Amino acid sequence: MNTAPSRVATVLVSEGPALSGDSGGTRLATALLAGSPRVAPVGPQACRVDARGWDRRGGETVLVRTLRGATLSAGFTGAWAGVANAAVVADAAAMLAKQLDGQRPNVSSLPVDIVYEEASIIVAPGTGPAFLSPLPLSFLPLSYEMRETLRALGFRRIGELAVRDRNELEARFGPAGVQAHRWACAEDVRAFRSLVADELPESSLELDGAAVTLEPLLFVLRHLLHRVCSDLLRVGRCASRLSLELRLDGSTTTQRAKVLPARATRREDLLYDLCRAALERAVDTNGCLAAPVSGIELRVEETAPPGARQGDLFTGDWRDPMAAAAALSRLRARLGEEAVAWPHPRAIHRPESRNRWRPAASVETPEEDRARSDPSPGTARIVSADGTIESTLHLLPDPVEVDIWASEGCPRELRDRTGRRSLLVTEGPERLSGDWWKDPYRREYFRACTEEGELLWLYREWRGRGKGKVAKWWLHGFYD
Amino acid sequence: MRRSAAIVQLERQIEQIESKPRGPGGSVPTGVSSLDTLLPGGGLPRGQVVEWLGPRSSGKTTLLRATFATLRATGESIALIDPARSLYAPDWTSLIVGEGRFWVIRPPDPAEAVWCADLILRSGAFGAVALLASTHTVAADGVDPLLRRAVTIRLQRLAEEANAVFLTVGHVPLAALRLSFRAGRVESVQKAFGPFLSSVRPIWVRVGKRGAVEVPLLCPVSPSWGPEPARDRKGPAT
Repeated sequence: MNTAPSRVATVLVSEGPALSGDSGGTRLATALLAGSPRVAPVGPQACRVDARGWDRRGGETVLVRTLRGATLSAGFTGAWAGVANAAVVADAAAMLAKQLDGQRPNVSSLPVDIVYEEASIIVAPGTGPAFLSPLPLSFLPLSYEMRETLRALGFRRIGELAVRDRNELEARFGPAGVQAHRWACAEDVRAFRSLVADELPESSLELDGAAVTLEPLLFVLRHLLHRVCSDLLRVGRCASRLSLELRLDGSTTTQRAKVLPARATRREDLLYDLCRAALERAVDTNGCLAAPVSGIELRVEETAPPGARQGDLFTGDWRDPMAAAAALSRLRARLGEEAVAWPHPRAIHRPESRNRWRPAASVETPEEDRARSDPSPGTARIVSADGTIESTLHLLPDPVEVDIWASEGCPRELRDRTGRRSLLVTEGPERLSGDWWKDPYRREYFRACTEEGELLWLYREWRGRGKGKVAKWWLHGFYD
Repeated sequence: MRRSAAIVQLERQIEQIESKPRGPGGSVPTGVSSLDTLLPGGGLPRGQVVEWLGPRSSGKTTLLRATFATLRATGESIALIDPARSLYAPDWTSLIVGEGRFWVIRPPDPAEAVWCADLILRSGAFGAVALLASTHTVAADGVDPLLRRAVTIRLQRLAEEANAVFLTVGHVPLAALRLSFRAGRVESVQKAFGPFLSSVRPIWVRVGKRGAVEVPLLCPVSPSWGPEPARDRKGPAT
């Protein structure tokens, strides 16, 4: 994290067909993401963008060219930009550029150092007050009453207001007077955050109207991702963890969601699917968000170097591990973290507690499992040298209570919803007990084969003590 | 200008690749040699849906695990979709170690199972995919409503494009190749191995239609609760 001096660009666009409809402002904002990762609409025809960092990317002339180019490409017929240290100065510069409308000003006649480039004005750092000074009051975002009152008092230029004593204005106009004086002095707290994580790409956008459905957020998300992935590409990194933050309208609270690709990636389509799945969890059955959203921020929290593997032209069965990562990520995003799993049994005797699956968080085989591996353990354990194969158990998620007729302690007939079944051969009991200190259990397990050849895993469990002791039979699983 | 020998060799290799027929091909051994000899191509065909059909306890999952263990040793990625969430984790730990990659997909809703299979096959990154049946979704006629003909055709096409083995375990999707499983009758067990099941029990696998040869497999049933040795949390004695 480093502290960067504030630098803001304001972009104004002309009215036209591109602005028509509710999505015009959003379209302008998303187009401007081409020039900056942080964009905030400030009106139906204006957006403010964070202009820091362009000194390392060709200078602010390149920035204004980029912003104008993106705006015109998005279908807007005219675009003007202003860049300055304070938002109020940038706004004024953009308005001046629009008034000039392509007529190059006589720079030498101006009292300050500005650059006129592509219908845009760049105000040098530290010259904001001097730039504002000759401009009329209409270049400040004052209320109608304040502007008319100041005019009635004889104020015409911003500089005339700036030279007055701030306390005097406060005594006459209150907080509004102080604010007007601050703006006249090019002091503006409306800036983007001063702390920039220059190593971890991020992108955010304030919506011009609060979104209540997912659709506008998904539209914006594509542009945010394009921006973030471009930044990742530029620095040669991939995202291994991202966070998606929704700013709720009229509230300081936010909703956050983590996005964890199975493998570090900068593929836009994959990350879009994962982010989309994360957003879809925030909507109800009617497709509406729980609360209106006024802004969205996408932040890369952790990066990793690209882990591409070398393919082999001469082996036709080579498979792309990134494609596997993408598929597993989509499964996890839609079905939940637990849905893609590795077996991870616990060292506990009780079968349902022993049967544990852990989320497969990555596509790589876990190192701890590699450490336990031998050259071909799976084959050795499952198929023995004489060709016999160990049977596989299916454990019912919840044991099913069954009615058993037993003789000499062994189950002989099973009755359940499907009818009666004779248990021709049984083996057992295998006694299992434990957990006396928290949840005691005492069971007798039997393997029983039905007439149809089904091999069932049954147990009898006692509950209670003394004369109140009751035994019940349960079907816990079957072999297949 | 004289071209280097390396370029000439490369050209030959490219010609060899181009001369090979494109499309799905090859087969995957099941790990049971007697069964492989019956299968066309010496194993389960790639790029094709294979029915893995039989009643409960007929050995479907047992042979599936053996096949996956064999396949895993070749380094292929494997996915097993378990919509019923009934697989017992200790039985499958040996498949996550070593070269191959193995994942179990446990969708919270069984109805999502086909979507999972579609997505996994579509990625083209998996050498084998198995879709287990969910007891909740199989209809009275034995045909899984999730695997109707149109769905099966789509999955068949995806398996072909991915050149992957796609096994539908317990479903009836009307695939070209069917492996029918049958559990050993109790009489057979008693006759061959005595009154108890603790030793071995046979299962039979039939390949294709009538007239195929049955293959007996011996499956010892072992207790499934032997705990792994717990780690000693105490440090070494000093």
